[in-house]
Amino acid sequence: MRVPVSWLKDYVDIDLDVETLAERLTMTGTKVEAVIPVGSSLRDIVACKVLELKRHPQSASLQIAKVALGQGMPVRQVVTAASNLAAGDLVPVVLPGGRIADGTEIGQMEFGGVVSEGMLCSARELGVSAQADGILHLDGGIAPGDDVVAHYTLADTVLEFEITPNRPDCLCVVGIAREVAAITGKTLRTPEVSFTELADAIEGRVSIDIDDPDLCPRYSARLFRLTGVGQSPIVMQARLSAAGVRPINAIVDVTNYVMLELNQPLHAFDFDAVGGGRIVVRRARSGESLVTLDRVERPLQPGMLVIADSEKPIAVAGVMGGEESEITDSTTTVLLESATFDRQSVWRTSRDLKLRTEASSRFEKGLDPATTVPALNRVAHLFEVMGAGKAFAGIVDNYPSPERPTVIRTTAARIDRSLGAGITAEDVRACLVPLGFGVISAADEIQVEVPSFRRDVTEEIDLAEEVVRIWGYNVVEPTLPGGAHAGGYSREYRFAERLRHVLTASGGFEALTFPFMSDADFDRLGSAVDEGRREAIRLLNPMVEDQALMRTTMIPSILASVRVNTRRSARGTFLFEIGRVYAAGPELAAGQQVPTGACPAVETRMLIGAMAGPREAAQWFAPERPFDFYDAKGVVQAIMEDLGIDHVEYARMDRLPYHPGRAASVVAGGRAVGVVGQLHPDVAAAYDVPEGTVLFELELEPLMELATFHSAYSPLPRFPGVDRDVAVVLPIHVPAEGVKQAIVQAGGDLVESVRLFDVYTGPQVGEGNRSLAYTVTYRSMERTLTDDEVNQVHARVRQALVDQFGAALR
Amino acid sequence: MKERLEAILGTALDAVAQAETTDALEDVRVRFLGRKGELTALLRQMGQLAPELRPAFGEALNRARDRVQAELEARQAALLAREKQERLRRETIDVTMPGRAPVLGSAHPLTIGIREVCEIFVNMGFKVIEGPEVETEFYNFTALNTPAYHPARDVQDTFYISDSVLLRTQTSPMQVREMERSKPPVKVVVPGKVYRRDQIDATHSPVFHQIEGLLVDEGVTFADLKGVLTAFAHQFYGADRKVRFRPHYFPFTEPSAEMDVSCGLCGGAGCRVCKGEGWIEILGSGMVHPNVLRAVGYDPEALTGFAFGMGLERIVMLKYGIDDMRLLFENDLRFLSQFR
Repeated sequence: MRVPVSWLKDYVDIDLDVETLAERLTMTGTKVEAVIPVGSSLRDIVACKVLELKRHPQSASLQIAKVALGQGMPVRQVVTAASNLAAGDLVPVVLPGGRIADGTEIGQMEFGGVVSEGMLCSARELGVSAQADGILHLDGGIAPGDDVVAHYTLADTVLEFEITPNRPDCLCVVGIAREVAAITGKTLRTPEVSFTELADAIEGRVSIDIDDPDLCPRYSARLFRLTGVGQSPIVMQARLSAAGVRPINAIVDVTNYVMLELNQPLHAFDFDAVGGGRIVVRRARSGESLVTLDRVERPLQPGMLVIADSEKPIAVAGVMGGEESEITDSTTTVLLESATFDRQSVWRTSRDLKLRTEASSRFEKGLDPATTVPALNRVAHLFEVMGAGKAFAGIVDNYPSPERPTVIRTTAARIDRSLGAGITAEDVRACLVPLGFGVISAADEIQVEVPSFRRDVTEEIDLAEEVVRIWGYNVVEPTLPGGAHAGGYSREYRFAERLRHVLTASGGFEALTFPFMSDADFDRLGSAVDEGRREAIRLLNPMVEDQALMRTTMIPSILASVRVNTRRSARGTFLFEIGRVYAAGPELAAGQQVPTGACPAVETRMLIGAMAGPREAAQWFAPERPFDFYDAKGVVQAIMEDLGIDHVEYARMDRLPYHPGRAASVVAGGRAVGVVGQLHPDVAAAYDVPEGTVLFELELEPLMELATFHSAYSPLPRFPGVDRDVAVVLPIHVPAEGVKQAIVQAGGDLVESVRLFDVYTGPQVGEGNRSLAYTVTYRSMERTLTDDEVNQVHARVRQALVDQFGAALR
Repeated sequence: MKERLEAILGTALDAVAQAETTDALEDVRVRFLGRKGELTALLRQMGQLAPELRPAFGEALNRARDRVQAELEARQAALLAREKQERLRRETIDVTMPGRAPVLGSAHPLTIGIREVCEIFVNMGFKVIEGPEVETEFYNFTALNTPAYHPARDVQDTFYISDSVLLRTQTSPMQVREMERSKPPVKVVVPGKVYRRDQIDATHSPVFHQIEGLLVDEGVTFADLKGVLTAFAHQFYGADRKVRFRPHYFPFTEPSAEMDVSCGLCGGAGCRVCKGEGWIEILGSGMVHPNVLRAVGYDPEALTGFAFGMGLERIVMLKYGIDDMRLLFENDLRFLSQFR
């Protein structure tokens, strides 16, 4: 909200400079977002009287005006293109060397041989309004030669506030003035409301019925006879413009002006269009609709609160009026509505109609019913002062159940209980009274009466906040809470950190992605994830289609990051992410209410790794080579090693989105805990990532359960081990793991380890075969093995390989 | 014989001195001291001498042998030393060539931020926990004292999954879940992802991260809130930074405060980073609203507490001088590899 300081000064004296004032307001909860000078460019603009007008000798569109700048000043000649001038008009002229609102400097100029000693100004050129056609006619008792900028306070400072939703009372000039008064110790002045009424009374001409008092606690109205719908005064226009509201005409401007002063939205009906002189505040009926002021026909849902006349809706209550009862140039009588509507009702109607207005956004925050009548009187006063209209006698005020003020009983100790600031009863009084609270202190109790405009204050804690913000947040001495507590990290947090250490030490860079995916991803990934497609949680209002689902797999988001890197540079990419995949929980899936304490979704923690491109660029000690399956598997092995998970199996797996021959299910503790594999070439193409891209996916929860973290110690061997090599030639499809298992089985307890140290395919072993060479380490924990013993057991191993696989020994 | 001994000794000493390698020196040893060596031969020939001459000659011969032996050893040591030096010289490598460095990756800068923030609070006795991202409207709004018509609930701002299920817009729902399932004192920090319907740009993202904090116990005050958060700011940003608390509004805390830290770049004078204000807004906080305590069955007459929440992206961007939030989610390695 924007408040011109000159306007503020109507209601409170300010002797601080604006920056200090802004700081004080910010530090007491009325946050000043910006201090904006307006009209600061304006210079050398004075009032002048048009003495005579002549046609320009060479241009039909130009006139030459002789203007008087006041007694003792020479008459000047000014060329103008305006057509709204007549002799005797009082208008602004910017003198040579002066400047207009946009900063343009005006010099002495020549138009077709005629010298112009200055320029007559439009409202826009002075920053008064957006009106650029024609010259502004000056009002308000200015005399030729007077400084226009000073007379109308066109050079002003605007404070731009961020008002929090709990403080609608600060959405107006008087509300801000009240805060200023409270924090600077000044007195708040109230707006002038004196006026005289017409002899004719509103009584008998207007009736107001509130059918739904729950949605409209109060409806007040005045009737005005207009004396012409002209422009509002320049000062009013300038203030509205500075506050960010466009001046339109006297009627609209006054209602806006009073809304900005008092936070009471007002609506003006052309009384002749109010059928039967009746106002009925009721819920819309089925089938009703209304063409609103913005010329849109809006079907009204039953339940929306409307203002109706004797027959039909003429306004959507608190949101927007109807076109039919709009004020026009021919309007003679205005019915001015000043009402309080239920905030929730206005919020819903505005949301359902997708129509937010200045009025609706104010009603939504909850307004003070006590303001309706003062706002009407303020309009009556301004109309009279401006000569825009006169009020009929009386007000129709329908207020079925007047509010009783909230009274809160408390003590200084209770106020201070949550503050720890050492607040006394006197502090409570000193802070609250200037804000408009009634405070009665007794010996052991403080009784606080909450002013009607402070609808946010309902209980003790609200008072504590009021007291401490005025007392000063930064005056409260910081303390540290007592009591020792054991801090620490959750098991999940520690586990993720442990994984990060292994992964980053293995060369992985951690990625963070948006956990969304799209229907198209399921097509790109292939059929294997159809299950995920059915389970996926779908957003009702996604921002874009490719972020419409909560991901059921980590693959699409990590591939998008791989693509970013492979597109931008040739460097190899090893990214990993520790994140979640999501599936609907039973209630959410069934469209039922999620019970308290339960979670709507099953959120499964996952680790994904992706490797693509060269593992490392060529180095002097190693040629470049691409990441492949065994790099990904190696990282998985390292993770298992770190976690102390033994006996991990890697079972061949033929399932999309993986390459049918280059993927394995990772099985530990009898459960599939993840996958490692190369992407299927079609999937790689669909995601525009390198064809050799390899991935590993691990689910964290089973790993956490299986991890031993090497918690037990094994004694070191005291006797030497003996190495023996064995090489076998086998058909290429025989898995190496099977050979290793056979060695372990045949060798029994004496086999300490089996290491595959060479794999060879080539002419020497024959087409379709390969040679696998192992080093077997034999060791006993009880004794030193003799050569004979080792030879015997190794012979058994060799024989087993021949027997089991028909292998040729090399 | 005596002359013969002198001559052999002279030749032997010359040969030792002239041996240039340990191998040549070994040849010298064999030639003079070996079983068939020249000095050894003299010993055998001693029988040809008159018996009375033998002791003197024997003594001379032994002296000669000892002399040669000593020279041999000295020469051997010298040659070994020289050969070792030569070997070391031959083994010289180019130490300026690059080493075989293990490839090191790194944690994401937001992870680093979470670590640093959480560590400070853990050291003050807070527990780090996490919570669900798919939340109910009840936990995200209602239990947090947010009225039904609060603008934050708007579909413009919040991702909905059903009428009552949404993506959490803040980590604050974990305040409620944690209090529901545990007895006071409750002292937790909750890092995690949150979601808002913001178009992604340099300062906004539909997915971002917050760290929530909550302390509920008997006798916790606003002064304690200030103490804990000031301690955090001084540890995270430096003890020289000034801290201030500004009144603000959150539905689930009262009184509510935003905490500002004096700008680290200009020291408070006003600059581009702090947009001329001299202060940088770091977090929102406040005393837990009694309605929130009531919603979880805590007695607001017995317990008080404070809560706070901070946007991690903003903190990390300020710390590293990152000017575009999109960089944090693109995962460009040229960006990620700058954080260790």
